[in-house]
Amino acid sequence: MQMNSAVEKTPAEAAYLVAFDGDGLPSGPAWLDNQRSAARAAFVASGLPHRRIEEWKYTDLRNQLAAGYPPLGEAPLADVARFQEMIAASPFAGLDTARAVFADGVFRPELSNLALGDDVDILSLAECLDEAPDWVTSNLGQVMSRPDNAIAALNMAFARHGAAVRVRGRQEKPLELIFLHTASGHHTVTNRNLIVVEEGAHAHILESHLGASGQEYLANIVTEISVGKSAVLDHVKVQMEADGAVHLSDVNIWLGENANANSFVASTGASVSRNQVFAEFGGEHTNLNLSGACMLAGSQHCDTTLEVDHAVPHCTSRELFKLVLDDTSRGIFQGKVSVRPNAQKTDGKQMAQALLLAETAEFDAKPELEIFADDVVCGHGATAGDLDEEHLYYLRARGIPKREAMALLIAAFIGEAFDEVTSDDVREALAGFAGAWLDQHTERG
Amino acid sequence: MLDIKNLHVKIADEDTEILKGVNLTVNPGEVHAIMGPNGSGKSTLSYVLSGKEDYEVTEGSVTYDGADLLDMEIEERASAGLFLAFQYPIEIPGVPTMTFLRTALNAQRKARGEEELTTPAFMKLVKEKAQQLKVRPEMLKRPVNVGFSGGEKKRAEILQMAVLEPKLCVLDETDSGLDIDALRVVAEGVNALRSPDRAMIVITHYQRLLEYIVPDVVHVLSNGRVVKTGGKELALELEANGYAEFETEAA
Repeated sequence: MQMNSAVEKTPAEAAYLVAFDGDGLPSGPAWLDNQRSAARAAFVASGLPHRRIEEWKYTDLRNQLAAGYPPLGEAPLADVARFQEMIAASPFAGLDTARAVFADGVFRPELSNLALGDDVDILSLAECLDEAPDWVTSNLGQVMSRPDNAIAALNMAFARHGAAVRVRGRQEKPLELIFLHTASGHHTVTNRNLIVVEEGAHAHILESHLGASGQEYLANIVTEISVGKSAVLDHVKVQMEADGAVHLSDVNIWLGENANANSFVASTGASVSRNQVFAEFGGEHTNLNLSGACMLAGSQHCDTTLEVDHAVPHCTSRELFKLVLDDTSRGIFQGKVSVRPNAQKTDGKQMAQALLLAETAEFDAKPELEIFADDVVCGHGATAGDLDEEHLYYLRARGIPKREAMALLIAAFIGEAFDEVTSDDVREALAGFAGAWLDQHTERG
Repeated sequence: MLDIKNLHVKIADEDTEILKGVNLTVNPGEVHAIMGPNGSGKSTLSYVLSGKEDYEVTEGSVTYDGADLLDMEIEERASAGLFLAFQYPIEIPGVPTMTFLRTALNAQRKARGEEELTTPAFMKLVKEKAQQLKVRPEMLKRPVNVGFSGGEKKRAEILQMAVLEPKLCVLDETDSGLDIDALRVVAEGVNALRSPDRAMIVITHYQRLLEYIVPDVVHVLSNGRVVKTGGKELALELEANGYAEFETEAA
């Protein structure tokens, strides 16, 4: 998009351009520097996305990022006890997991526990790059790479830290990647993860994004996932950023033959958030299940944008997203499914449903099916409505107070999305997470 | 226990009056049957007692256990011991039956200042009552009423009633849609709840249910008024002669 070049730079764009010329940029090794300079050039040309770009119609970052968010340097290490307190607030805190903790963007081994058996390699991206193994060099920055995507471009330009994970067998317990934000002032924190699931392996990855209240950072996070032949991926992300934060995220998934991938995202945090998922079927007889739930109040804005590329025949994709929207919050769902001419027998279904708890809340749904094959089953749907008065009456007629009855019905609505998560423990943790939001929310009135 | 005086009710936002001065007194231990033709206001009466918000009381009063029932929220009425078994119990997808029952029971107990029931004690209670009402354990694993047949829904209503142990049970056409075996099971469940402290209002179109749940008093509701009150033999009379006599009277 060249449209921006003639336009005056916004404060956020200007801050990034200043950072490009500064001396705080990550550098080395050479193979990655090439990607970084290409990413910088792409951002210089495009600037931040805005509403005149179709994919960004509802999330105009030029407008919504009112301030500059310069990249955060090495932040002074906050009190470890404070980080531990935040980790304990993760919805997955009660689960038996390995964990890699990133505090204000930086990997913190002293807060992490990487013991996960011989079949899983967990590396700190920042430390592995000088002598990076092949599975890192051949994948990093290359899984569903989108040079024109501003989130990915800024991420490539600035990211130093992240987790590089290779799963070669069946993971005995989940690996939780925890991202904590405590630093104050407007700033950008960038992390990049790489997950490589080898042939026949089973990966179970959890991500939690937790912010200290009152902070106004921008978190930019890209997770690249390559799912090999006959491999299985379970990926669950929870976004609980600070109320004033911005969360911009890409999840890129490449799927090999016969693979099964299940990726779920729950969002309750941030003033502005965008979850992009780009997925491509690289081999036949492969299943992809994308689902999510978002619960918003106040003037929160949460955008879920999916692009699923059925590049080969005989693959199945399922998308189910549920949104609970109160006050003047706004939920957006854009789901693009492309079926290429040779991708016969594609089976794709998409559904987005919003529960509007206030007349001032807004839901925008934009399904996009681009089907170039003739023997496929594809469908999509979107609904928006408020709580069913008859349901509410029935519950109250049995003595359940109105607020509790509403919470039960909202939990039931959102729970259908949680049902897509395969692990019982994780599903239970998510139900607890939703319950906590409802308690807090209904108390507030 | 329940004292309805000159109750006038219309549908909110509409002018049509449905109840036109109902008077009814129910004492503890009594079972009252309310019979009447379609459209006479039977279901409206039950909804108004439960507190459904689609209706507007324009005149009259309802006193329940000395309190002004019409001044109470829907859930307060339930916690005070009023239970309406619905003619058409609705399905609530995503809300598990057991969660629903436990939440309801504990909310009522809490409202009455009683201890909440522990999960094991609750499970035991429901299991016992379910067995008596021939409610299969699989039904309890499903969301509220979802996938239940008409008869199963009615049994589930009576199960809720048995678990919640209300003081005043209002049964709205509980017999409709039931075959004879299901009717017997439901009636047994209801009869098991009969006690000197508990009153019941059984609303029905047909006399059949009253063979199983024998009432102390029978009222005929027609065109929004109680037009005749008698003993259980009144039901048989209605069965023989139909409602024609009362419909003319009302018109």
